[in-house]
Amino acid sequence: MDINQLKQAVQPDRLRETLENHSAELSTAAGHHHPDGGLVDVRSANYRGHEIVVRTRYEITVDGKPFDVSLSVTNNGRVHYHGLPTRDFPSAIELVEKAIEVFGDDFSADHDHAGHHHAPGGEH
Amino acid sequence: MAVIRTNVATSQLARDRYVDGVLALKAEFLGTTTADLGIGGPAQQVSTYDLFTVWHHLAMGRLTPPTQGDRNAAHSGPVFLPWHRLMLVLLELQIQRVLGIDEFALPYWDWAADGDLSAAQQTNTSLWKDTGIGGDGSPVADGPFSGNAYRVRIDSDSTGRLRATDRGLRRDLAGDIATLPTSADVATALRLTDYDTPDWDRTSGGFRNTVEGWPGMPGLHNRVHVWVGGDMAPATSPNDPVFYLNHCNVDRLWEAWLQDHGHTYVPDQNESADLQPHRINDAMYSVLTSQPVTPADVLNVSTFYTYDKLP
Repeated sequence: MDINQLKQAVQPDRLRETLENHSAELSTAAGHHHPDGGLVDVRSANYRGHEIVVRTRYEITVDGKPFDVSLSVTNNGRVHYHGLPTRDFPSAIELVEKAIEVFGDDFSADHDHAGHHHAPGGEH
Repeated sequence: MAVIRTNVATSQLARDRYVDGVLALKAEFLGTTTADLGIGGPAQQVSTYDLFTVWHHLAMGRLTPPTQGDRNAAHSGPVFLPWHRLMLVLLELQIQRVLGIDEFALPYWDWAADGDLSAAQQTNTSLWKDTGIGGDGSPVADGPFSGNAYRVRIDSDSTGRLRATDRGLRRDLAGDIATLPTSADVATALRLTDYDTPDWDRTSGGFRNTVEGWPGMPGLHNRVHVWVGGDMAPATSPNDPVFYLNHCNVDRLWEAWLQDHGHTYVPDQNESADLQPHRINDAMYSVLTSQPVTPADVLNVSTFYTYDKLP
């Protein structure tokens, strides 16, 4: 790592230039939406010469509305999702319960659980 | 000449400069707008500080490889420590620039020292006072990052997507988990001889996965995010300036481990390309630099910075 090059990289003009070079990628920063209800999670293992593949696709609703997220599962069965990235859960139910706790506003009556707010926001 | 990173709890100068630097970067706008990031609604300017939050969110959403849902470009894999080291260096350089103080060094929060206190004492240390970085609340009610002095402009919703907002910072200290990691937890991690192990993810053994905090209950780094709560919970956790104090301490632990283990790193470049960008000579993911920086580049940083004290 060349510290002098990095010192140049943090100059406003250079940073603007870098951001411009990454503009296509930055335009996707808001995040991908999965209208099909999320990705299929694939786990695999080899056991006594046999290949095990487990595909999991979650379809979650809260109050009848889709909670449109992609959950991943590790080979030890723990469930994780991008919305709460520093923790995993023993079950998908517990994960959604925690999401409701942390993002309470998103699960109010004027939200559709897909990140769309239908009323003016403000300080909560 | 290397700058010296010090303990935020014992260096008021480091704390004051850090606060000044964060507020200055929050007030600097280089032209990027929320519309440029694909965020709907009226376009608003994105500050230099908030660009780091966006970068972190982008890295977290970049699965490596995209065929699995565990490892991403900055977490749950070997690159976790090198990538955050790069992030810290870039923020440190930004603060040096915006303050015009070349000797500025990021402070660290030695959360294990607080974790050795009683649960009641942990939320009552100097860090969470008005003269530190303020306490908790929704929004945070005191300190330098409260009120109109500090606004969260971009956050993450329950589905993990970025959205524009305009609100105060949120913290919920010890609301979700009662205690911080302890010095015994740190000592256990530092005794591990492997940096990382296959499958190079959240189920791995080794120092990286332990210090990231995946095995068992949330541990070390993860536990600190959960303990602080509020804006430290989602992928936009750099919204809370305590994010960098946490990661500076995580980096300090890694530095201690590196010095004890000959500055080694795995996986090497012979491992599967599926592990990109986690291998030693892979360019790490960045939208804030054009210069490629690899894990190998950041294994020995003694000419850039040092710590006043290693565990």
